[in-house]
Amino acid sequence: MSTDSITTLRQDLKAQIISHLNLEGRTVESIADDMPLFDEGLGLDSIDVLELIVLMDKHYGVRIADPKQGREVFQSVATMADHIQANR
Amino acid sequence: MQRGSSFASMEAMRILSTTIYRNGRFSVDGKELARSAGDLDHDLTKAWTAMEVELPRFVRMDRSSKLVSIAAAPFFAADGALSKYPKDRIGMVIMGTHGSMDTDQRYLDQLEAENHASPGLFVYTLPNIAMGELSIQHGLHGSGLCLLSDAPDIPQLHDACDILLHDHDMEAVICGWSNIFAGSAEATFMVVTAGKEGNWDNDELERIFNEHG
Repeated sequence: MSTDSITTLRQDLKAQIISHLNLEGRTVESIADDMPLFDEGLGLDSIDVLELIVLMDKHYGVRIADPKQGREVFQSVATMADHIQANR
Repeated sequence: MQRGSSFASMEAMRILSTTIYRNGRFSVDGKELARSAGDLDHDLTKAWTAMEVELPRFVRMDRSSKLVSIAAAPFFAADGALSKYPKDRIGMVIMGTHGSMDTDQRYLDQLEAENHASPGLFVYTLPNIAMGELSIQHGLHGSGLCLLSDAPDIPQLHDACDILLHDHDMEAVICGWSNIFAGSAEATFMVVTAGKEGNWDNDELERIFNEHG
């Protein structure tokens, strides 16, 4: 996948996250590619992880079956995009 | 046993503060804080915004949790009725008719329309979840009761408060009625404590809780 494609995927992913999780006040520009999704980063919680799993399945056709894998995948938008790119 | 007669103790019940949300109007101790005549989601957001409380999670809650959060928020303000009470000595008694049916219906609608439902919606499909949201927001660790009733039952609310204050050693109780369904929302919340000089008046509370429009 080209640099342009991964950049487009990350931007699309940010927009989907904002929409699916109803992150009012957030914009695509305000989410850095490597910003942590939890705690001091985007501040997501355990319920949001479930939403992200559904989002990846429905929108990108990529399933997360192993919880250990989820820990790696949901570190940031960049790690999510990498996982989607490698598995869809 | 006569209901509403402080069967658990001889101390009287004292109401420190009251909030009322009804049809887009929100008042605290008789003073109107917000008024809105849009749809329910708009009205709830406007009432919350009027209090200028920072809570990013508010927009992601279900409507029932939003209503309960709004009705209780003034009690936790710096000068609010609960500001001086320890968080583990604040109890809750919340009564309503429809429980989580507003969210249950949205969950079913989403299942039928999209063949899947949002986990973020699913977690709100229990009547007592709004009380959990309130506990998380304010760090409450006291005892709580979630009651379903066709209409506000003032004597039962009185007895429930009495039990929490005396049997469960709570110092204050958030007591009230919260009901939301089919685009309509109403909540009447009070902070109740025990003391020698009571002001709990069943007849007056019946009037306040059952006022509509």
